[in-house]
Amino acid sequence: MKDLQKLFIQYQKAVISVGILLFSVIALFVGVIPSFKTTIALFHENKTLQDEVSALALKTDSLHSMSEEDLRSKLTLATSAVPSDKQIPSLFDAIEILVSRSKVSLEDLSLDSNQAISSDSAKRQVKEDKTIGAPLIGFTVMLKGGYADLRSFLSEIVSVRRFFRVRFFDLTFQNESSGQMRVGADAFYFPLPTTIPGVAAKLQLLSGDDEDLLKKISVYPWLAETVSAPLTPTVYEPKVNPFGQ
Amino acid sequence: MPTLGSINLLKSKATASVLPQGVEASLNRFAIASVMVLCVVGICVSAAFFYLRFEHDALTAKKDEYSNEIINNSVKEGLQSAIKERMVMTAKVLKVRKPYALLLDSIGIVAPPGKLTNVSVDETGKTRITIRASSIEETIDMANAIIALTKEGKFKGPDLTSFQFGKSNDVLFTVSFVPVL
Repeated sequence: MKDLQKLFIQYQKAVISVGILLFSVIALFVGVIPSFKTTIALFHENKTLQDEVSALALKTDSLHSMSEEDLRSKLTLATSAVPSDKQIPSLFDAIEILVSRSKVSLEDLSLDSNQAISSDSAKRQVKEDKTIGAPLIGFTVMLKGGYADLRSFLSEIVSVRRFFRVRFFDLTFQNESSGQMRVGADAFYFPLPTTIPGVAAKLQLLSGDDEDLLKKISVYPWLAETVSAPLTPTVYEPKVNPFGQ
Repeated sequence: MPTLGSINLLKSKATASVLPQGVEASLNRFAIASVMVLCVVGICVSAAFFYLRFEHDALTAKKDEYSNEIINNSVKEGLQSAIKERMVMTAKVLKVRKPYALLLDSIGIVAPPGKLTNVSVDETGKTRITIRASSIEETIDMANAIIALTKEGKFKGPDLTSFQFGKSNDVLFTVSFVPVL
């Protein structure tokens, strides 16, 4: 013990210096380096947060610049071309109007066998076009008329606001003035989204092509008013019970 | 050994260090420098941390504010996303619609309605036309018209699938091709 004390007194200054150095090294590893790491992590977090805030600010500005009425009218226009549900009655109306405009006579109109008319519960049975990703209603019409009229029907069916696609047709002439045509076609529909994108989701703005497409749709004649107001909460009035009084 | 008149066995003052003077002084300077560097770095890191923490809080507040505004405008966002989604799909629908009236116009160049017996287009787009021509010469003219339309790029791969020569010199023939619409 005496030797140790003697040694300490002998190397007092050096021992204090080494002690301070040791303290500095320990403080560096225990305090400074972890704090530095935390600060760097915070810096990166802030950078991410800054990007998020910028994106949200942009989204907010975009939403503020939009008019709800304008959006509703655009959606109404878009759903007039491709309805949000099957709308079979309006499909029949559209075919009837097309037939009368083309001056042909409708001999037969049938929906493809796998169509579910009455309920949406059989949606899985409905055909879906894989290239488009939209469900479709297949139908076949049998028409009679002159060459020009039947040609007019083929022209009109792809020039109206409810979008149809001719899958096949078979045109046979009995004589020079009249012919019979069987046309297989599809009517498209596309359900409205049931969920709203999340707050952080990027707002999909309409491109120039989309605006052009909307203009193109608006030019096509609208055969039947079929669209209900979408995404609007509906308030149902309770029915009055006539036997209740 | 204790000197005379002193009872301390240990010397009260340290004797001169055995270490060389230069080494001891360097150690001392190094220790002081390390403490100073530690203090400076510590202060800088702390300052940066508190500044970033303050910035983080401000950004979080802004994010919450914008998020609330977006939630308040969720109807607009829903409408916008519905339109966009529908436009993408509608553009695809437009691409698959084929103007078959134009095909009839092209076929009309080959054979007028009175000569045309049948036109059929299957789901793959392959077209078959059956024409009744009144003579071989007329048949040749019609065949030339089909060749001309193929050269123009309106028809692809024309193929004579049947040919019947009647007693009254009339010809019934069927041609298949793929129209380019």
